[in-house]
Amino acid sequence: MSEGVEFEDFVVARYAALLRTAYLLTQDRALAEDLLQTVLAKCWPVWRRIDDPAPYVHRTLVNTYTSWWRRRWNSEYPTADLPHTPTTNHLGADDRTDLGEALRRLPRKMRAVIVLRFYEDLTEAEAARILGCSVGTVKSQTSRALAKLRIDPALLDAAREQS
Amino acid sequence: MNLTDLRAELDSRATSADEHPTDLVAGTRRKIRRTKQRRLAAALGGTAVVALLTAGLLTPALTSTTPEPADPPPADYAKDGITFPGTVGDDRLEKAWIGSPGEGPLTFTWTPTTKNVVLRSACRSTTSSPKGIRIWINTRLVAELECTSDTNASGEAVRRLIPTDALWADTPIGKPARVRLAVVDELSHREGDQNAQLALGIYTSPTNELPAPAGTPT
Repeated sequence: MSEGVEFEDFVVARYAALLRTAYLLTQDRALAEDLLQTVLAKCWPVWRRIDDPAPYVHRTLVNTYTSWWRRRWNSEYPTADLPHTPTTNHLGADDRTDLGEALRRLPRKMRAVIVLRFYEDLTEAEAARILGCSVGTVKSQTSRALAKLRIDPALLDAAREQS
Repeated sequence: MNLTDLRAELDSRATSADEHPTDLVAGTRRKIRRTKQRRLAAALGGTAVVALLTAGLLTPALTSTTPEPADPPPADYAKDGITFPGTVGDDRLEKAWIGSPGEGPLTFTWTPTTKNVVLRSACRSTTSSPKGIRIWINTRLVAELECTSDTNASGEAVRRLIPTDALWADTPIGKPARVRLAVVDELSHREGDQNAQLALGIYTSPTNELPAPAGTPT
């Protein structure tokens, strides 16, 4: 039971940190807000039955993110059909950084592993528990994600420009 | 990129999520309320149930054991001197975006939670020719509004969407929609004003009433 941790107190205390994680996962501010609000709305009906809210909400956040993308609808951006295609100067600040582009190209599970391991500094075992997979899977996903980032054209171009 | 760089970049990007903070608590409350309403409607179904819910007769008996969080008015959203009030009459601010001067068209994602929606635009243009704002949701042009910096304005800077609007045929509730906002020259009907600043406030409305003010675009 989450006695002593009222739902609203928890949201007020933790939403900024959760929003940052959601933002790194989705790479889109509006989607991050939607994701987090959806997760909190999911957790609210069962709040009194949750033993430890923080890891529960955290796990729900990551799982909801991966399930959204499995269902595809959340990743559909019908911009190709818009009557006017925005040019690059209409992109948000997020779209302008090389790492943002590289992260966006990562498969969703690899991106989640990167965020959990290198932003939240979780151990491989903790990341595995949240993602519901084995430690070996976390290790292999981390290794493959880092390899993808190292050869991502956006980051290579940036490195060339700096050198 | 080594791991230290990666950690620093992730930290830096995560911090940028703190810019333009919105009232997430209020948004969560609304989502909870909508979820409850959808579940109730799905469980009981039918027009009679909707009527009972509207009358507030069923809600106390069907409320879960967890009390619903209180629902104070949404906070105002402000940037660069443009402010979207948290409430305008009975309409409540759900989300707002305010672009930067010269940024060009605004494109963002929004997840509708109701079919009673009010779009309030704001626009600053330095050019002398009259300007308007066009708003698309997904691929559908939903509004052509007046370019004004007054976010409290009624009439031609406001578009009220109702459940029978064609938009909802291809924009389901609860699924993210792409919103695009662009300035157009009202004489040439061409898009674009390199110096314009655009903003949009999306409000939810509790009623199904049709727009009252004369001159409101339909």
